[in-house]
Amino acid sequence: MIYSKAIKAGALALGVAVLGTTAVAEDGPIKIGVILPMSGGGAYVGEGINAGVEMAVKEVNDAGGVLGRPFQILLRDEQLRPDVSTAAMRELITLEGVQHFIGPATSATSLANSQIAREEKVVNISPSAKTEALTAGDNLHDFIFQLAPTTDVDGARTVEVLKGMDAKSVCFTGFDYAYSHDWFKAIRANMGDIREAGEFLVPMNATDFSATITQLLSSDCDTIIGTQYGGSFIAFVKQATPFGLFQTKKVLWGSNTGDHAVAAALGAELPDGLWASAADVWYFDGLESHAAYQKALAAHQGRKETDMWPITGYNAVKFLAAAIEAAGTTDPVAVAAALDGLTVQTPLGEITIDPKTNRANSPEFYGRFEHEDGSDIARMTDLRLVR
Amino acid sequence: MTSRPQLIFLGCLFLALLIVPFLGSRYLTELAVQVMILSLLALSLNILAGHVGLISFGHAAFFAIGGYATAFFLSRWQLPLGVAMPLAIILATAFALVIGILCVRLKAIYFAMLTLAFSMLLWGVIIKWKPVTGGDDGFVGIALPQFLATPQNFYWFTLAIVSISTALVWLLSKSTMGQTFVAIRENETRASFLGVNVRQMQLIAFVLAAIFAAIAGSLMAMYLRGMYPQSAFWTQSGHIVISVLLGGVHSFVGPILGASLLYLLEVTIHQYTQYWPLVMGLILLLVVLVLPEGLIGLFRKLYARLGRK
Amino acid sequence: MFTNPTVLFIQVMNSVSLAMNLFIIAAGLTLIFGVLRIVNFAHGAFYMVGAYVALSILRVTGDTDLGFLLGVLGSGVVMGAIAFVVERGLLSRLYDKEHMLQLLFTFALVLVIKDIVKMIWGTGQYSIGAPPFLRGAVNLGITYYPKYMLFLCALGPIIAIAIWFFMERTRWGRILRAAREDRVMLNALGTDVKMVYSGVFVTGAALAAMGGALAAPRSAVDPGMDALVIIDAFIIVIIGGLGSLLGSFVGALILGFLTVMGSIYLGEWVIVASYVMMVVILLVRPWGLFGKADEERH
Repeated sequence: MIYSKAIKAGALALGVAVLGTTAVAEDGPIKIGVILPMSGGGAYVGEGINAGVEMAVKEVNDAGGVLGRPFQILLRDEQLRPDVSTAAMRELITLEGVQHFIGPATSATSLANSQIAREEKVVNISPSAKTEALTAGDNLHDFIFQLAPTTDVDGARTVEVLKGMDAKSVCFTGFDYAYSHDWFKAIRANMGDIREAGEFLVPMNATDFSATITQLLSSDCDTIIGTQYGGSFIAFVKQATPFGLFQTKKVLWGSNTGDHAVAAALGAELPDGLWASAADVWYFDGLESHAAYQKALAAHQGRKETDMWPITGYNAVKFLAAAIEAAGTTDPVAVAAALDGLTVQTPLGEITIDPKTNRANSPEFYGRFEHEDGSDIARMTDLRLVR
Repeated sequence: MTSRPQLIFLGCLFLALLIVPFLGSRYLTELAVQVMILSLLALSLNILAGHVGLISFGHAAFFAIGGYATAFFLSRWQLPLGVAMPLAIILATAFALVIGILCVRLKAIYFAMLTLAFSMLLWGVIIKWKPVTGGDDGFVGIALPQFLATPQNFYWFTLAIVSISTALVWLLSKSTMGQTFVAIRENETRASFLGVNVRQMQLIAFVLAAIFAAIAGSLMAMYLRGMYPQSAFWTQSGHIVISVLLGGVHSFVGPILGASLLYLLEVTIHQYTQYWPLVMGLILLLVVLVLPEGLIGLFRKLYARLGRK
Repeated sequence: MFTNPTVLFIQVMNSVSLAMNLFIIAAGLTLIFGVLRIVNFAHGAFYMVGAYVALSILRVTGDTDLGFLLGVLGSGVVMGAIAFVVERGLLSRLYDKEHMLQLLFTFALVLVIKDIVKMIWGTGQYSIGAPPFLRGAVNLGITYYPKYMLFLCALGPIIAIAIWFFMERTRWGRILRAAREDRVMLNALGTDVKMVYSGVFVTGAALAAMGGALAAPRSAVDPGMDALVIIDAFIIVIIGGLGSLLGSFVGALILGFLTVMGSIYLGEWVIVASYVMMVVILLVRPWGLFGKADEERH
């Protein structure tokens, strides 16, 4: 029969072909699995983080590699889906023999891949996920490391900024997802005398915020704290501006909205006075290490106005390289142990991974957007790096 | 729907699958697990689509219920697998009865839309019911029974469950009930004149389809070590429909071929290009325009061309 | 909220302008289904193309009123042209085939279109502003209200009436309605049914694209925008009745009010409410509010 023979032959051929590729070379390149969103709404984040990874890997390899071996990036698209991100991770482990991973970028996918990392005993550094759940309670294990500041730390930092803004009463708005709930919780825990006037959440795929904007306008708060991110933040701003929301209320936004790409997209429509945080700001000039990094990144991306996300991927690679050097081997158990308590020099200064929590709580920038004379694109003033 | 060549094909497929774990590639073993689970899922939809002729756009709902329920029973209630899995299937059956009774009242496109609506409703509930389902983060971390801990054992377990399920669906297809289903698809009016209680038969098909989808979901949750809301989203249902159509809806093994090919394509294409949706889309367009009967149509044409009767 | 009439008025206006924006998109979907009997899953992708094309046009013309007009019209023209090629070259071969194949076709179209958009414009997020003369707010006496949203409130009914007039009072409209009822007979009577079908598909696609360009001033132009709108469009045509223009108008209003008012009282649960409503309508009146009962037979 035609089909049965074809199937049998196919299976055997596939098996033989695969057998030849699963051997892990001891002196070839060190493979890094990079699992990031490369399509759909999260693509700009994934591409940004990957740019940082690529640049860091190039720097490492140009300097002779790690333990004499170069890094090799194996990039996979997580598609913001945990079933896809875990499948990608398993494929890289079983087919390519990858033992060190950077990514994924979002909360749900990071949680899912962390389980695989625990089971397979491979190192997984999460560059940008902020959810506390990733390294809390039962989810914490030896092989997961979280570089971005978790929402509890974010909340405390935010309250300092709130106090600086002289906020007396706040309204919360945002997507109905874990990040909003966790960040708001952390803010509430730290805000002391500041009064809350209401919480107005919208479903994850909401596109129209007019109802919420109207509610915010008629609420008794002087400051609005929001979490809509990316395209939805742009939509929120565009819908809120003609209502005059930004004239009557002070606004502080989460989700690393300080991203210059957002300011560039909105141009003149970005409201002045908006407070936001950012993982990186290209025009910050208070640190020499940062300036050097920006120069290299500008060359890598081909423009002066570099993206915000690359630094997260860049630092992840630096940590991995340092840990492998320190451990003297690529064995994940040893590398994971080396990452505990490891301090690395990054463009933003020294960052240390706390051995008890596996968190680094990287510093972030906070600032207030203002349009300078003659420029359509707003920049953050009052810019400070918060640790 | 069933035929001798297909039975022989299934037999050979089973034999081939028996060999896979011994080929020494963990990647291949896990790939085969995924292919088996997705094939079962497509096969389950075909109980509705190929036999009774109702295309459901909400079939993923039962896949999700099976998966989430299994995850919950294993991890939160710490039930043994022998209890958790059947319980999950019973839960899916209950949902299927309720949803099915409401849906089979409608014809074709309205049936499709109502099934879509129900599965999106379920999705909304899954997203919101964080304490039970984990919400948008998904249900992460499943307490897998010890004997399933190694990839090999999981493979054998999956092979056993999927084989038995496939055999059951085959027997169903060959049985009087299965043939009655096909009679309903071909001419509903005539079937009812012949004394068939069409609504009841459609409901039974609906529930049976849901049961096997739940089994697939249960296996998938254990394989993924978690269950995610996307598994109930309409795009997942669309995926299942595409698998069935790709393989050939009017044959028994069509869905198996379709699901396998779709998955293998996805897995291989994205290793070569970031524009894998484009490649997938073009392949689907090709199939739609050139191979409307699906892969089975292609095989049948080749078969006929080789002159055998 | 009901204690404050000003706020109530604003929320009602919000509901209507959202509804009108959605109507323009849903109208195309219902039109394509009404005549071609195709459930167009690619409608969200058409919407997306419209927004991106408008973006490019505006980059050339600059941020002007004329530029915006050109952007909207241009998006319709470009998408219409693409739709024409797709329909003539590919889709028309499927009219006699099973409906499921047509569905599969539109699914595949989404994948292809999205990647081509990604190839041309990349994955970044972009923004189009409202045209200068529609920026800011206008004083309605009771309160200030955004000009652009008022514009949408007015545009929706205008487009609805235009389509209605075309369908009911022109010769082409009669041909379209005839094609909906009995295509074979129409062909026998000498009308080039192929052109009619092309025309419908092109118009539906163009409406979706223009809807995308018109929605852009209130949202971002980014790779995820198609997924968000297709669900809303489907809910509207299902509630209103597949193929019914009045149905999609009323359906849009219902969804608009549900989304806005619902989010006040139900908060983030409003998403569940819209699916509940879809289920209820399908249980009680599957052919939608304004669909025809005999269309239950397929």
